[in-house]
Amino acid sequence: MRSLVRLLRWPSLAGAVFAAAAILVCASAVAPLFLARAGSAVFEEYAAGQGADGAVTISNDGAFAADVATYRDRLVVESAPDQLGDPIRTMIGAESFIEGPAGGYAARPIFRSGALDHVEKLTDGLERGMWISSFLAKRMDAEPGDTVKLGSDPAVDIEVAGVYRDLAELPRSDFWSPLDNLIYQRPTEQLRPPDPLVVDRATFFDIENALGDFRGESRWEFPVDAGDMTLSEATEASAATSRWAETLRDPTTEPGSAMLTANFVSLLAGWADLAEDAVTSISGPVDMLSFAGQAVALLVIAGSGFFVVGRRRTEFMLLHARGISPLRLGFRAAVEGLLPVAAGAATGGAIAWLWLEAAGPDGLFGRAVAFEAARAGAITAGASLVLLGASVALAVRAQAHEGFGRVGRSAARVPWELLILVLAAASLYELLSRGVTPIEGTSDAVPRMDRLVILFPILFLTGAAGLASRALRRGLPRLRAAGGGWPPALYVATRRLASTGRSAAALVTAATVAIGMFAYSAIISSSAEATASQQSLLRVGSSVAASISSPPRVLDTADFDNTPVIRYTGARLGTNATDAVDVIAVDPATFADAAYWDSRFSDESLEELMTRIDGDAGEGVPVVFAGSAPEATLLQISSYEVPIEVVGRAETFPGVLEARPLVVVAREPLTEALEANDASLRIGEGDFQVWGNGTPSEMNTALTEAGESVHAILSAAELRDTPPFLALTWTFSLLEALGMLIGLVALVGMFLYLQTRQREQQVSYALGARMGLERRSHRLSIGIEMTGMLGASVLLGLALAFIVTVPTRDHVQVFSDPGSVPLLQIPAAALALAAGVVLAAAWVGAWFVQREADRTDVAQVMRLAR
Amino acid sequence: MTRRRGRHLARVLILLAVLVVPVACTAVAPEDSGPEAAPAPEFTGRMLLTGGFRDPAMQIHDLAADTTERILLPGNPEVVDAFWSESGDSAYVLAENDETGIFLEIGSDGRARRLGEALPGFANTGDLGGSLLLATVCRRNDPSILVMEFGGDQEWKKVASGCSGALSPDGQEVVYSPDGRALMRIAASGRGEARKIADLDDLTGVEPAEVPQARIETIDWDDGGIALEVSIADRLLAVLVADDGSLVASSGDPGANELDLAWQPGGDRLAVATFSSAFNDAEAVIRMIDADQEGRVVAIDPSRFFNMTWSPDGDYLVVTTSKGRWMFADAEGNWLKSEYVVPAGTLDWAQ
Repeated sequence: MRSLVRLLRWPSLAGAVFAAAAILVCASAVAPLFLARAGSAVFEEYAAGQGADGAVTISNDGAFAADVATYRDRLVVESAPDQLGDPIRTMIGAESFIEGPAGGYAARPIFRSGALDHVEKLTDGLERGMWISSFLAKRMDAEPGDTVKLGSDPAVDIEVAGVYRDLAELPRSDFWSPLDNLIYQRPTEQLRPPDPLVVDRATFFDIENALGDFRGESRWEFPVDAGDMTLSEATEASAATSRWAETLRDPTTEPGSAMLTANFVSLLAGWADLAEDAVTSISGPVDMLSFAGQAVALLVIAGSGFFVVGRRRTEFMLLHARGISPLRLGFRAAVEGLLPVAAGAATGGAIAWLWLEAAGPDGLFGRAVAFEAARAGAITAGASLVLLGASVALAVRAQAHEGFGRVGRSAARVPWELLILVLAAASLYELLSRGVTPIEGTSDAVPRMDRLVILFPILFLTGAAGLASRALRRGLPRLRAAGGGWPPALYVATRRLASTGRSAAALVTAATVAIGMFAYSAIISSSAEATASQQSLLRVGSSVAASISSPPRVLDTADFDNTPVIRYTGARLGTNATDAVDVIAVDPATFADAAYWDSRFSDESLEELMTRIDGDAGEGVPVVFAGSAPEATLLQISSYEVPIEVVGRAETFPGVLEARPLVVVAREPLTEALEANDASLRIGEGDFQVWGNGTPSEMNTALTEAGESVHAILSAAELRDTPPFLALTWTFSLLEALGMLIGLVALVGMFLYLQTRQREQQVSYALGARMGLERRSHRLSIGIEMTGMLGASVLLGLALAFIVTVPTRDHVQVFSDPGSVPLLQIPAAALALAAGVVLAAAWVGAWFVQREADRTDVAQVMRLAR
Repeated sequence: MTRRRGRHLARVLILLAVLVVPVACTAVAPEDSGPEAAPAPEFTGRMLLTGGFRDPAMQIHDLAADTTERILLPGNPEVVDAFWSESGDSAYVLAENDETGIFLEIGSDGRARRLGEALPGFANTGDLGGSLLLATVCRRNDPSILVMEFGGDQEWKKVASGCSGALSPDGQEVVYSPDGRALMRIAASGRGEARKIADLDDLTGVEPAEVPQARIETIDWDDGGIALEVSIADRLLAVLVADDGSLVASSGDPGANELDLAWQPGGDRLAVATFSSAFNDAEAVIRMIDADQEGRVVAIDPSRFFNMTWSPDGDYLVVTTSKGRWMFADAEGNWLKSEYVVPAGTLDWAQ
């Protein structure tokens, strides 16, 4: 029992083991949990975006006898997988003319379960019976209690049960969206469709039988509770739905026989596949991040073993001298480490859990994943104890000068940094030769990140940091020759740095790797976010873009910058060109203010490019080419030929889609050129748009006030919320979080170093104090010493992180969209803050050492030293 | 030493417990289960059938052995209807040959022989009751209900005029409709007065405006009672004749343009098959009507149904479709199984 708590007497050592175990378990447990939650959240995002209430829709044209409908309903509902909820049932009758005292209109009875809960009732009335819209009520001059006639031959008299507000007057709702074509007038049609008569089931059959309408469409819309499903549950639900579909296609089953001709549409499989794709796309880097965190934590554990022996050298040497083998001492140390490791493991698990809850994907994971995470955490925690014991055993052996034999001596001479750098070079070669697409990836819509993007930096940083600290160890002794006239604190600090040992080199290496990984993750994350943001803005053209039905104009009443744009797709360059290009006709006067622009897109400013296309270019219409458009003097839009003259080029341009070349032309010259062809801007597949840097609602309001009919509104923010990009965003958050956790290693290492150093330097301090070294000077010297080491680590780590970012950034697919310009964004504030924290910790450490030194019984130290 | 190890183990277990805490907070996977339906019974017996439109040859299918034996009929006539004798040792076949109807008997040796004289015209229905055979010959100038005692002189005797008729289960009486509206009953011998037992004027269960349009097409009389196939305009419906002579339309979807009736042997259930082919999405609906005239849907099938028949004990119903699928249901109207066997038009089941 005493062994279990012995390590707690040295809080720094116990704290180091605790912190390393926490990082270790956090890094190992977070990966499976993160991936599972990401998968679940992506699934939910897809479901929410495409309508989880209609995850599975079955529609059937068949007999409308009540008993047949009941029979079919029973078979469909009973055979449905448990994962699906209670369906919305719909029955759609045939169109008939309905007539009241003042007139009539075409109408069709519709039974839809819960329909009356999703209309705005304008009158009281029974739930049973027929409810008519305010449009019909006005047209027929009918109100509840009135009898109206439906149909002609045969016809049926029906009493109006109630009136609801015309659905066309209200914003479209998810509930009615599956029946859009039965409710809302299409732009191409002159009349609104037959008006829905909302009826209950019994009334529906009464009407249908009376009218002799014996066939129609029945529909079941099954919802899925996507927010309460893990990805594996979603996949299982998808598989169960596929099996169900097979059953419904099998005429030898009862449901299959009854529903053989039904139309079965399941969105579940698509959502589950896309979610799995998203998980696959991020699993490589997430696993590598997890690996990196575990590797660093295990290194700290191993280092802790050596520090434990260094701090308790007398004790271990005494026990060893009494005949206790290094192996037994190692085992004892492992037992001592059990409590800190257990507490660290629990804390690491809790950190992983809390981080996922606070900043991770908002999804669920199943029991199997939780067990997998717990198992991974338990295994790595166990491995850390073994490693602690082994490192203590090795340290005891080393301290006892027993050596490791010829093999050990040979191994000690091997320059491991070079080996790691060779591996890093191999990774870099693979990364550069592979291109952007990862080995396991396919060319789909899901952005992917190559796992080498994580592995290469780890290897490079570790190897380079090791080499750098080796070089420092060789170069520092020269400091002895300098500083003869320096102040005491600086003099003492330089002497200590000059005589620094392996432990200090280990600290510099570990801190450099930790700070480098943190800086790298921060740079990659912020750059990816900036690039993804740029991509969405480029695609939309500005913050928001709206499609309207008539040629656009500037919205003068809007309180945000906006510009009219006409987009033509499928245009061609030259007479025989086969490559499609997009064309946007812009308003040069307003475009520069409203469109998104980055000076890296072109050597010329946007204002300059607008001025050029607005000018007179002589023979042809002045245009700007964006992307890889070939030289040409002729542009074909639909079948109309427009002579052009290229007056500028840009690497990319607002409005570029899927990396297709884009031709930018001013609207006025294009209009004139088309008029010369007896054509107008309303040619081909022209899409009339207004771009603006407002919000979607502001855009909608401005367009509505301007009397425009809005077809669709797309915002850059919406694009950034698509599930694949969300998955990538979460991964970058994880990268940042683990980077921070790894960065903490620098602090843990520093405290370990100080703990050991303080023990080793007791005699030195005692002597210095007797020779007149002031407390303040001593504290200052430690601060300078630590600042020197950690400062070197910070500088080295940041420099290496910048170096390693250059070859890797182009290999994160989000950066490599040909339609965008990769952005390298350095989060200077975050990096400066991190550097400040590390350096502040150096001075806190100095204060801590001085406090310990003040408590030292100098007389006893001197007596022991003799 | 063991005790100390045990203490360490306890800590390890605590550690593991801490690590698996998240497990308790996770969602439980729903169990995908449901009561499995009881397996359908293995059916036995012999089915008398024809192969449908493409293969009108007479056949006997052994259900247990899943084998089909073809029966050669003399003169190679086209089979109209066929049914087993009460004992199941022999079968009777109504066939058409040179625009006249003939009855054939298939003996226990599997050989077919002609039974009696040819009918005076083409017969579209046949019936068996006791020792009598009934055929309806619907000629415009002389619609006849003919009866023959196959164990006796084998001569057809006209017992009434009409296009639809049926024998009572014991073969003592004939029910027929002389004009498609009235339902008459007469002794199978043709002697005695015919008495009217019902009239379509009294039909209920349809719109009043439809009553005058109703016409009796076929009649089915068995232990459960008398059932009629009635047409109204372009649709067909099943009508049950109550003991008091009232007529109730029990089943008949709007648009049903084919209909078949089958009484449960020894029981009171009536199986009704309707087929609607008004549009491309044609479908057949099989219903079971009980003694209280309550109908229950047994199956819906997009295929054209061919025929249906009950097992001799009345426990099971089998319906065949044009695709060669046979659907079995129990007497309660519960679906049992459906499987591909052979296309089967005319159908009758014997043990």
